[in-house]
Amino acid sequence: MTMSTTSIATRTFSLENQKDFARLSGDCNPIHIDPEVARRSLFGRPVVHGVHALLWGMEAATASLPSFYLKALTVRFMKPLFLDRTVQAEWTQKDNNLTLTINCGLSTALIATAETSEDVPPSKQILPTDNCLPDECCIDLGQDQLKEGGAGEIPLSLNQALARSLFPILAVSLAREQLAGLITTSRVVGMRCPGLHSIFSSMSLTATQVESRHASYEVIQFDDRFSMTVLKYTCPGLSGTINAFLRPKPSEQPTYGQIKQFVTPNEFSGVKALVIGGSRGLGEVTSKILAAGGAEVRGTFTKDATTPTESPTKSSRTAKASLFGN
Amino acid sequence: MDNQAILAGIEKIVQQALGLNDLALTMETAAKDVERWDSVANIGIIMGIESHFNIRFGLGELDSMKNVGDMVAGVAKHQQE
Repeated sequence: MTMSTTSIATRTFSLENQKDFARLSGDCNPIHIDPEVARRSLFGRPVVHGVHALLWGMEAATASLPSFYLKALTVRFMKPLFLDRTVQAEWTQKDNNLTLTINCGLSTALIATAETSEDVPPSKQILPTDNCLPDECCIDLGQDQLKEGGAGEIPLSLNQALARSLFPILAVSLAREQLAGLITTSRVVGMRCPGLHSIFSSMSLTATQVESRHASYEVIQFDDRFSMTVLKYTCPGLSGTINAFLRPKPSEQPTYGQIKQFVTPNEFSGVKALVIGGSRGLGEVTSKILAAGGAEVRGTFTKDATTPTESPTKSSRTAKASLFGN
Repeated sequence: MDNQAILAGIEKIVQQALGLNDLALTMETAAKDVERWDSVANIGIIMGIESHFNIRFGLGELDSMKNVGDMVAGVAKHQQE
């Protein structure tokens, strides 16, 4: 029996790391790689792909294993991890059981337990390795569609060179179809189901031998109490369930035309207004109301003048409004 | 199933959900007393309990649960139905 040992590794994730993982996995959900879109999500900034963090932690935790197969893996993504923050992986290995946690500061972002075997069954699959994943639109499934169920499949492939640059140990030691299958879970949740407005919550997978070149998924439950989707997931080396939340969409403000109907013309004529933070949210609405009433509006923004979808300046030639930022 | 058996079942689910294998629960334990037991973790725990005991709580029931004892009582009530 092997004594249990506890070890630690640290790192940060950069936006470039995220883009690399997006290329490897095909999970190009903007929450991970587009700071402007992520800024408008409930997280307010880009979030590290949960599976990226998981595989990094597994890479560190299994470094002593020359080759291995996952007999079982359970992962819970508990908190988002953000870019450029030091994250810490801590793991305990006892016999063939691995417990991994990934923390940022005092909060636990991820807990995984795995049962590994050094008996690697011969692979029946020859996965394409020279992958250049096709550009894929991020599907945006809503509650009603998820309630109706749905299913799909994704051809499995593994870009070996990129996998080795991101996970130099794991890309060699973990059975290839299992690595490809784990990476693909990120694409299933982030791009397909629930897709654009998803949060990967947990997965529970066990080893399986399926002769297929695809990863397949099927909605088996949508729990509208929690906006939680439960998927059945099957790929050549692993099968089990994935849980993912449907997160709220960013709110859209009423258009200038809609607001104008509720404002008396010239109600604010002669007013010169400065709206701090006038490019979105309450500031955006305030700017539109003032402009609709004939005020001369100036608004400030902090990040990006292109983000307001409909600033008063764009919405009406007659409205006297403009935006300026730093 | 008696309340102690339900408590033992819930304890195991919470241990797994939070990755805290040595965690001991009592009827008085509340989420705020336990490391990592936040609202997101609570959803996993509730779904785990529902799946284990083959029941489904209403949203009103979930709102009124203040501690583990309330969860145990909730499971017992559904099992009697």
